[in-house]
Amino acid sequence: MTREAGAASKLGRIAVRRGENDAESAALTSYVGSASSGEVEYFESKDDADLNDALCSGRFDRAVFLDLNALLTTIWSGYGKIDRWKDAGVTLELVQPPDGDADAWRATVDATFASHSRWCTRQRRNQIVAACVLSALALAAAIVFLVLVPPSR
Amino acid sequence: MIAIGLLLLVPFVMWCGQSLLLKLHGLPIRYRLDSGDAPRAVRTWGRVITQGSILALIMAYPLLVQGQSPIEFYGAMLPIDGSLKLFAHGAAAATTCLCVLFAIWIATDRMRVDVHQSRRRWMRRLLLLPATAVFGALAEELLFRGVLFSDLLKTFSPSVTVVIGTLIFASAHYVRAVKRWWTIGGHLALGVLLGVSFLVTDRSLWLPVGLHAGGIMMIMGARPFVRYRGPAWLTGASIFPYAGVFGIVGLGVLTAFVARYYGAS
Repeated sequence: MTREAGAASKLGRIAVRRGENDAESAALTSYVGSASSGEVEYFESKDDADLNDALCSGRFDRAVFLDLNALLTTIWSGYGKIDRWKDAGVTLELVQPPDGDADAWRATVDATFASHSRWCTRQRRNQIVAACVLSALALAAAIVFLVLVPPSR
Repeated sequence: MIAIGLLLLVPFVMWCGQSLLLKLHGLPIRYRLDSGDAPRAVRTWGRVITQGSILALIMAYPLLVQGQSPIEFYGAMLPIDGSLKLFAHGAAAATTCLCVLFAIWIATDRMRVDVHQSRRRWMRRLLLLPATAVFGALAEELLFRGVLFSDLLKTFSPSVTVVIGTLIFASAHYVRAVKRWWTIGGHLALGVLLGVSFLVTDRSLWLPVGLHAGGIMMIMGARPFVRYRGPAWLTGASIFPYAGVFGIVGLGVLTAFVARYYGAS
């Protein structure tokens, strides 16, 4: 991650998730430069875990993503805990919001995140149960091999 | 070779039964064994006829060909002595292999744990599963290893018997109209495993029955709780996890283990 000192803060500190290529990064830089801002910190897309930690800790007031895909990618990866970001007072911004949807995407993202979280919780629980059952069966099979010696011929 | 002739009678009896049932329900006769969209009674009685004809063949072969009672003939292949442990070994080996396979698919998200049957339905299935698995495996092993292999071994060497017996075992699963044909590779690999396990244990049926029953238990037991996410050529699907590439390789490894471990003992 890199840190740049911006103009005097109007909307506070900004965390920016970098784009995947030069064009995307240029669009992000232009957006951040045009907005009145204070301290700006850039996070590479591979550092979503660090971005999440920083936003959850309340170090930033705004989080800027290129578009909905970039934000949702962070959520799918498991590092986009946007409920905790909100609790920390972070405002989400998209440089390129969905067409004709300047602000309505926020409600969609909230609902998507809530649904995804529920699905992940259920999936984790199912996987834990499956792992326990498979381990118990494999253990029982190993005991059979250890205890029951086949007859010699 | 007589066993092959007797085995060929089974689909013929099944087709006659199907034709009669369709006629009784005022439906046209079909040239294929396919009652998928037929009335429930046709399907139910079709299954009864199939199982009845298999049972009749299993009973008739020792009496007509060997001049022995079924108990005497099959009792020699299912001795109640120390070799009974081979049943437990077979079930344990199949369980271990499928546990590993399922764990890999779940870990790599090729299989989702997702209960997709009602509680009542899956509980009934699980309660009936041990009996279904043991009787299903026993019937198939008595037929294909007990009757077919024993008969083929009178004429052919063990290796040729495995080849012919495996081809017949695999093709028997496609006598009826089926949804999937690509599973044939899995049935061939399974046929080799069961045939080899029969031969290396001095023609005892305990090991193949154990392997077969353990496999049915795991596959049918997991069925209400998992969904395969494919691709099918890799993971298999439905009740055929052994028919994907990994499943076939796993059956090959298990065959090598059986041949080495039990063949050397």
